[in-house]
Amino acid sequence: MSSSREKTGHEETGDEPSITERIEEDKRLARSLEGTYLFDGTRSQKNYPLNKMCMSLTKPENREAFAADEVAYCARFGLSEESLRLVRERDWIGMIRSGGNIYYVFKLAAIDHVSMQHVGAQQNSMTLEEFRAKLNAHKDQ
Amino acid sequence: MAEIIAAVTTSHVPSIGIAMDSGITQDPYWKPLFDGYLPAKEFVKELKPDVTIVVYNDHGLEVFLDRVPTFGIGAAAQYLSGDEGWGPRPIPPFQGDPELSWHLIEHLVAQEFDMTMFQEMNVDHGFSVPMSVFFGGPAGEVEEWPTRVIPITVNTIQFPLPMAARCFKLGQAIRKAVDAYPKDTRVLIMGTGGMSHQLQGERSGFMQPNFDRMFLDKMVTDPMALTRIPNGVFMKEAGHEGAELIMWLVARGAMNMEVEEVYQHYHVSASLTAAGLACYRNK
Repeated sequence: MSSSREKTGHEETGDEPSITERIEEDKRLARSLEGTYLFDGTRSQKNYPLNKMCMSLTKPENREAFAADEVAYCARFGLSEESLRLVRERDWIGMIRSGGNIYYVFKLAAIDHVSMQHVGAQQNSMTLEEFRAKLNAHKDQ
Repeated sequence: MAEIIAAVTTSHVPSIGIAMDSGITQDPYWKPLFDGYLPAKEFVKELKPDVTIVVYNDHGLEVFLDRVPTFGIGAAAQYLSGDEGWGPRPIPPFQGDPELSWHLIEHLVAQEFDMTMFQEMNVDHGFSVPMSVFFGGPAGEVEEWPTRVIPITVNTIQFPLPMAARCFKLGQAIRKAVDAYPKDTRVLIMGTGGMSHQLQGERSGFMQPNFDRMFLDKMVTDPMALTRIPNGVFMKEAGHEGAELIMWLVARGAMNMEVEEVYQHYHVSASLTAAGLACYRNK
């Protein structure tokens, strides 16, 4: 260990994982979860325009503008062709995979009065009934 | 002198708010959940808190990804239910307590918690649903809120999230700050979010009641064990959004090490969430 590092007062004892190891282990675990898209800095940069467009839907006048012309509205935020397609098709799992964050994407679902359970079912490629069964599968644990 | 008189915790999904606002709490789907809330409402009614500190995460109302405060605190005289994309909830405005807010800000920063300060803010379902659950009538109805409020926000959306241990320490710092407030003020602290839930990805709908029940037990018997859970483990055991449970630990940190659980309710499922609720008193 270098002497300059020791001077910081944060020298490591060797008994505990370093901060880098702790972060890496946490991310490794989170990324190992199948069907889960850890919303870290890398992912947050992936489709910022989509999230920003969805966030704008918290204003009623923007919801009206979106409803009037989806393509023109999305163009204001610089959505990619692929993201435009995902929005047009209301492809929820596609949006999540592309870097959409569920809390922002859900504002788009709300425009169509689509419930979170519907969004969940679509992401699982299930019918609503099948998805509800999944939700209650471990009810009696 | 001011005092933290109790802690309460609950899940906070939008659909619980929609059920209250649209008068369907007695439908077969919702009845078991809302019936389970009744004893908690009685507990809070008898407490008569002057101020309720609500620990929650903003879900894209005041906070977007452009700037994400890890910890924030409201210092407004009034907070309104905001429009998250489906219109504001039809509930009365919340009255703030700017004097206590600024006292908390001074005392938290002096304890090295560098809070982001909000002098103008609206609140979303993460805040308003728990308020209706605890302070509303049997169907969640409210004419006027019987308590002033102070919102405390925790980032649980953009990783990295604050660690569980840090959240617990924030609760301890809130406790010290309240204890140092010279005005006679009865303060309730409310931790919200969780329990098991995952909204995003093919794993959405994941829940694990075994983990939630362990968490509920250890909130009473061994909160320090919960503070050692890394956020990756919360995600694995409770879902990507289940990491919201760190906000329960803020409320727990503001209590004595020894607490009595006055009431607990656990219901699977409400929307995509395992809905847990608990009430704690200091021993």
